[in-house]
Amino acid sequence: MAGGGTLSGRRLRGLGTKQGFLAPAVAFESTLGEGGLIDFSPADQVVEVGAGMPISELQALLGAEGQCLPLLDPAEWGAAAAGYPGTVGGLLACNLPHGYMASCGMPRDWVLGATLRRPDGTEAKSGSRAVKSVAGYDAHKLGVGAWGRGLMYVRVILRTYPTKGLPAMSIVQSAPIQAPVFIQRCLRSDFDSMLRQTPGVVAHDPQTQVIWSQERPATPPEGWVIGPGGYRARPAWMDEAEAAFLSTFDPEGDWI
Amino acid sequence: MGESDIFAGLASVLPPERILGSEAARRVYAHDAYTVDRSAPDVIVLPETTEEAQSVIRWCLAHQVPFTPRGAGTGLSGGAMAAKGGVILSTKRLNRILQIDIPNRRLHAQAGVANLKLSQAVAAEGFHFAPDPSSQSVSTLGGNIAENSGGPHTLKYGVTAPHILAMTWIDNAGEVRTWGTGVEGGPGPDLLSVLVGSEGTLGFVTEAWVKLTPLPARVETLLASFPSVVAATETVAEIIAAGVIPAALEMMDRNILVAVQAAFGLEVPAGTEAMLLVECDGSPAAAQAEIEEVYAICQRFGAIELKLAANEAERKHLWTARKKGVGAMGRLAPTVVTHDGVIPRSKLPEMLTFVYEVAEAERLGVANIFHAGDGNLHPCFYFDDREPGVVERVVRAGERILTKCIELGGSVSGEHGIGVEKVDFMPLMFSEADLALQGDVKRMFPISEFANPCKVLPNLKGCVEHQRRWRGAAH
Ligand SMILES: Cc1cc2nc3c(=O)[nH]c(=O)nc-3n(C[C@H](O)[C@H](O)[C@H](O)COP(=O)(O)OP(=O)(O)OC[C@H]3O[C@@H](n4cnc5c(N)ncnc54)[C@H](O)[C@@H]3O)c2cc1C
Repeated sequence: MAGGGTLSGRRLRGLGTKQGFLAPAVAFESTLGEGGLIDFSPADQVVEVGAGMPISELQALLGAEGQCLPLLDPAEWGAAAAGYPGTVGGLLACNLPHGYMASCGMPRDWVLGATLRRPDGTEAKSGSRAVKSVAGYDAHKLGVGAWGRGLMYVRVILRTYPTKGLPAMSIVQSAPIQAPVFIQRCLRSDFDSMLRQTPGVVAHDPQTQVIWSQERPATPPEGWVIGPGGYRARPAWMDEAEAAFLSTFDPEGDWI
Repeated sequence: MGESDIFAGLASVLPPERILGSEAARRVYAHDAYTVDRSAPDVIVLPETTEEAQSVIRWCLAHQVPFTPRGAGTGLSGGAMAAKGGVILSTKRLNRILQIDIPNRRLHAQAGVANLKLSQAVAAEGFHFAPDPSSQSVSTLGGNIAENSGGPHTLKYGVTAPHILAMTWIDNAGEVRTWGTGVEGGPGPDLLSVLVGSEGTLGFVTEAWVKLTPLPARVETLLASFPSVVAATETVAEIIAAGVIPAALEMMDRNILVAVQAAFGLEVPAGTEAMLLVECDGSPAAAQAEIEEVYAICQRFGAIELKLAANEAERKHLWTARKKGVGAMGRLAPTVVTHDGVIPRSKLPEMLTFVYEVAEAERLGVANIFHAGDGNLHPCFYFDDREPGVVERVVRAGERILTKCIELGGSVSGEHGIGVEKVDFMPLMFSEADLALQGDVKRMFPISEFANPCKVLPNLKGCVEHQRRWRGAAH
């Protein structure tokens, strides 16, 4: 499935750092109005913020209390980094691999609750401030990986990590990174051969089998690729899941 | 449709020896480990493959017979109860490990395999399946997926969801789907994370690929005795605030300790009101540094005694109280009801004080044994259910505690789920708009009023009139 021409409909946009991963759009709806700290409890390692808050602002705020989201400082990673910066809502919507993924999981694993907005403007919340909860369906996970379609994160409750305990990062960087790059993830057993085959590799993570490349890779036998301009190679079940999601939450295709 | 018609009809899709319908079987399957409400099924079926399960589900849908998935029946919210009778779809015979793929750190198993068997199958290779509910020796992979179960090591390793890579499930229209791959993440909304934790209401899971986690190189275990519950809960808060994330951080109060002491001869130092069990793991250096920090914090908060395990045998011994605590409760009274609520962990001191107040006001015994690091409470009320009016008091105590959990920013269930038990609490935590959102989550998948009816969401079609019957069946 390759990205094509310009799309009609509105595109949610935070700081716009990941727009290069999507097909071009003409109309935008900004999420930046939904910023601001709502609540931070360092003792609980839980923070609630408006989803339009820039990650850099959140990191500064958490850092003052010895906490953080386990994301790399962009300065360490090259100017136009692929995973960071951007807004908190964008972080969840893109759910991209990052340097601490092997030890701290994905942004998906950090979201404890959220207030979500549908394209028709109605809002509802899901989850709580507790670090675990089985209370009905986890709607707050739905926008993860949805790239701004179907549901918009308005406010989010995230677990934070102590800065002190962060392990060593597992990414090996081999060249400067120009975003947007191609990002692929494959099975452990296919990793060496994918790494050899992929042209223009700029970084890789042997622990999570993620490869960043400036050029388009072959599709891994089991896995996926995200690339510039809306390029996606993904297993068929994801198409099925996305269709079920969009036909329920954005049947008119308002957000693209 | 009557019981014999169901039996005869299902005999056309399954060998008759795998359809149970005796009075005794129906009684056993009328409830799970939550026993306040009961509702007997007409028959229990034991499929061995995805195809067999699909045939049963299609038959039920075609004949409008309700069906309810069930694993080991250790659930604590009535999720596996046949709320409208009909068929119990048991995973008892879906009990095979299908493939072990060590190079890719994953394992493929049928849904009825017990949690602990997954870990045992790969222990020699240095791996385990990290979610470890205390019921792990019997509770099943399918049940763990349905409840998104946690366990003592959830604090560090997370609940079940991040450990499920893919699963094969039969949706409520009877279609088999396989969702997920060996590779997590990717471009697309994360519906797998929503299916996990949906309490068996969106489909019947027959197989799953689970993630295997390397066993830690070193495990350090500490048991600390405290002179007051407040000192223990404040220690928990301080450990977390100090930036240590132990693998496990569990608490037991005096009443649990009394029971374990009587049952298993656990030594409890004089003056102990609460104990913390703390485990740190990782590289030898990291585990050691963390446990030393925890040790010092416990000392600072007035621990009476600190026992550090020197070897595996001692480690197992220190876990005795935590692992056997709920079982030992049987010594305190004929009936024990375990509640489940969760709060931000810094609120533990306030919450526990409240729990004791409620127990006193309702004239009930209460003992607490729980995942303190996650803020996940399990007040166990013990009583004699022959005493008139006592069940109502237990239910009321539960309501007050859950209302307080919500007030403190927590949730009505940390890990036991909503099932039938907490359906009426959902509106306490969620507004109409929030519940409508959840209704839409359900509508992303095919819906049938015959698939695991009356669970999770309030006011489902034709359920209210059944509620009184369930309660009546228990007494
Ligand atoms: C002593 C004790 C200790 C416990 N400790 C913990 C703990 O530490 N952490 C924790 O989280 N829970 C705990 N529990 C609760 C319980 O063990 C878990 O919820 C467990 O995951 C249930 O598994 P099960 O196989 O017994 O499922 P069941 O009780 O049989 O079913 C539970 C739910 O899952 C559904 N279900 C079962 N199999 C499937 C399937 N294949 N497909 C779809 N739906 C399915 C059922 O319909 C039901 O809604 C404990 C229970 C006891 C009795």
